Amino acid sequence: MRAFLLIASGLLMVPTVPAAAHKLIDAGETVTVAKSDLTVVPAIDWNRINERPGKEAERWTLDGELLNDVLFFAEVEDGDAIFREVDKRNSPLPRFSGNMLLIDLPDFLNSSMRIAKGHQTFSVDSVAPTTFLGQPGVSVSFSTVGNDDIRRRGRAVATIIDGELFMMTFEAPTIYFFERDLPHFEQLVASARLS
Amino acid sequence: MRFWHLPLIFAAAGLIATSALADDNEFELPTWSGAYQPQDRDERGLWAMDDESERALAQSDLVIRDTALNEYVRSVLCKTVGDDRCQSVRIYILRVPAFNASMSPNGTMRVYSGLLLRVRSEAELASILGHEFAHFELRHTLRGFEAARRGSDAMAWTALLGAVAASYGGTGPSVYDTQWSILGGLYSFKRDQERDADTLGFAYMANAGYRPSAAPEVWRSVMNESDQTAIDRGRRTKRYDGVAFFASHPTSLERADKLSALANRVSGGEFDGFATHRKAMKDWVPLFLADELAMNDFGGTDYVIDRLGGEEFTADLYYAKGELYRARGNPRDMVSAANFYQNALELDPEAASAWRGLGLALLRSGKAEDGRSALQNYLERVPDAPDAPMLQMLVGEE
Repeated sequence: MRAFLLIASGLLMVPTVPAAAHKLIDAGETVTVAKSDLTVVPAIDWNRINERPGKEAERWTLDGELLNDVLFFAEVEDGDAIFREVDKRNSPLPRFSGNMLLIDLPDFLNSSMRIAKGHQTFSVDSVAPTTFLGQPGVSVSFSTVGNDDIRRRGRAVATIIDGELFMMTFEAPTIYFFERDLPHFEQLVASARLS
Repeated sequence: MRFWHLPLIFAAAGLIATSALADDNEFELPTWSGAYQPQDRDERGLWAMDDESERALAQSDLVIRDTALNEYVRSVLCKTVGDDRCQSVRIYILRVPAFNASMSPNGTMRVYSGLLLRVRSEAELASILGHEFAHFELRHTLRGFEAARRGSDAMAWTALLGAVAASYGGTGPSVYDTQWSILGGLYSFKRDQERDADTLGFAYMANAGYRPSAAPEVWRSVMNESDQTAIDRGRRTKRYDGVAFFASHPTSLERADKLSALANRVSGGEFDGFATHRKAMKDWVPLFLADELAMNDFGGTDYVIDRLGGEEFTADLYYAKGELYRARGNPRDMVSAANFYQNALELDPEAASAWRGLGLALLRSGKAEDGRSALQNYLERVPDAPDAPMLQMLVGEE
């Protein structure tokens, strides 16, 4: 019996990869993000979550992704989803289409975020023209209620260059975190370049 | 051979007579025992868990607190099960784009917005609410809980014994058989519960004067929707595991047929309540449809919109259809979308969002001038729209 228990406990000790292993991103250095030509120069230290949220995506945070979640999507091509599929059979993600207009992006983001992040609601508060990576782009302010029943606010900045999507998003709880960290996100956006 | 027939006929006649006798009482409502309190330790534990979860639910940002909508749903439930029974229920309408409703032992009823969107009449809504209330009145959750506990205890033991047996060179199959029989036992237990809840559900509907055949209709429509989702995604299997409601309610076409049979047997009323339902839902349909559109389910959502529209499409439904096709984004979809927006505008020239959709669909079809003028129409109607600055830029582009 003792031998059996030993075997059983051995089976339980399956080696696991830490779910949210991260790497420190130092302030002031030029960093290439999302396996692409996109670079940013952070003014403060950030953490990069090692697990990629999507094939062409990268996730940064200050205190954990539930409190401040910055996502980079770069060189998203026609037919790609921005996130990794969560349940392809029952709720597949929408695909980016190269002929989308900038104004179609809020709806695309709405659908992608609801399915990938499990947001229960997503409402667009404002959509305005902006300049991103030196190109005409779109800036979206939005509010969400997550499946953790937390109200969050978010900002997305995006542009489409030669049929490829480049987008940075920021999301944080309405209480405290959004206001506090929005300037840090805006700094990242302003520092973004295509090398 | 001829002699054999006579007893068979008698036997058959006897069977029919017995079932006819049973039928007389089949749909009789049980006496309502009034406010119920948990009796034993299991039940008190279950209620304590349930109270805790209701406290969280009551605080949730997903609960729709609109008075008129809540009163409407409550009125349908009260009409269905009667005022006495209805008093024991707290209804929470949740903004979740999925077909589901559930009821827990302490009297918490959860109704998803996706359910309200998908039913077309009071009778269809009553059939689902009544079915859920029947599970509650029959205290199925408790029995399910006890059976699951017994089942999982026994399963834990068989797994343990199986592992021991395997380590001593024993063979596995008999162990797996045991596991399957426990799962099977649970399953048939649930099926019994379903049958009882169906019967009682029909009793409520008949008592309230609702048309009983609305029940199999709404049931079939949810299965059809799931099929359309599958077909659109290139799948052929008829599995309904993607439907939230069916996660706790086993389903099959056979079951839908049984519901039809019950609906035919019960001496119900003729009342549907299409108009009252449409009136109560009028302001909510656009919001609930927008939630559905974000779920990226072209086939299913297309089916839902068509079923809601039936013979008589509204501007809201044409608009939603336009949004659905525009989001899929093939060149042919832009042509269809533009047509749907135009249909919406014919019914309601002031449907501002339809001007927006039309403008964007035309722009993506290469009809820049017409597109810009449609967007201009939108901006004149909604100058403070959240995306006005962006649209202004599109209109200004030459």
